[in-house]
Amino acid sequence: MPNDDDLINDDLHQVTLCEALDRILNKGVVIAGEVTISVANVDLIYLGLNLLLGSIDTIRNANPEMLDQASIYNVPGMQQTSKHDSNQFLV
Amino acid sequence: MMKKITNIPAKSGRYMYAIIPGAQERSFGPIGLNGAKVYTICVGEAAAVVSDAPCGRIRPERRNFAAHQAVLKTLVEEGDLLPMSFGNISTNGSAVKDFLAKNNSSISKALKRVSAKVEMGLRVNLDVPNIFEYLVTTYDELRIARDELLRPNREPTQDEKIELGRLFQNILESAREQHVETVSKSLAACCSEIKTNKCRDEREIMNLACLIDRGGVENFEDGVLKAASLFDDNFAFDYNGPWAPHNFVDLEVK
Repeated sequence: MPNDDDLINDDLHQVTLCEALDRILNKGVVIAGEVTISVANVDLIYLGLNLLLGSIDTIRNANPEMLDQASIYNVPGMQQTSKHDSNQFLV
Repeated sequence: MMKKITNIPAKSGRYMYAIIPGAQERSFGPIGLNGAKVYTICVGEAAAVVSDAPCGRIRPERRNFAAHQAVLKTLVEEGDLLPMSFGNISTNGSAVKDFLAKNNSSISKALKRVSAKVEMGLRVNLDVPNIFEYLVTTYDELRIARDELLRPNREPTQDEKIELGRLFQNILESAREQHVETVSKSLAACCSEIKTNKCRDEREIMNLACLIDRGGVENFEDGVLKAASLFDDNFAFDYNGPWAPHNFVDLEVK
């Protein structure tokens, strides 16, 4: 099932992708009142994936690309949708 | 792609990638989200790097992340920046100007802090087949408690198990703190700031973000090697970067 994507094929790139996601999702300037994705005390890289996977069903028809994207991570046990605020991130 | 293109609002929004120093308007070409042109909106000595985008929310799709990351990469290669986190859209150009004007002093302070600096990441993991076994063998206190719990002819209670779990957690936590101190001390000479981030799992001993001089990457690598030499082979040191200084932007925005 994992997509043959050269972006993520080797370990090094996977690590880099992880590190990059961790940073651009979790860190940096966030303007209050705009789209809020800051999540207190939660490692957002996982939460982000959680949301991504949790939302697969709803987005499957809209955008098949997302499925491939989500399958990159192969994170087990991430099927439930998070109840967290940052859900709005995906809506 | 089969996406319908109806009902997409006018592109009055401005997707924001970063804030950079400089009073001159600049253009970076069509490298933004959805291939949009990336340019700056300036107020005083600070400029927001933006591209036009529909107001609303940006989906966390890989291509959007990739575009955001690509713009940051372009910017970090050429100079200082305060990276925005993913997904910030301002309603229009004048809202961006307001934002820059209102936060003028904190922006210039934040820019000064990261001036001519980049960020490096350092993760240290326990590279052992079984972390629980490793800690039990390493820490007598934990081994004694384990043996006591599992001594023959008795069934450990739930509370006892929880207590042992807590002991494991405490020992791991204090080991982490101690190791972080050792590494931070060793790296102090090659970093202007070090930030400790949360670890991802039991195996991870530390997750540091280090602010270093732009030209100091090699120096940092040497520093990591030196720090690693203080540990035995069970510890794996992995560093990455240079990144935009994501971990060193504590901007209070209005």
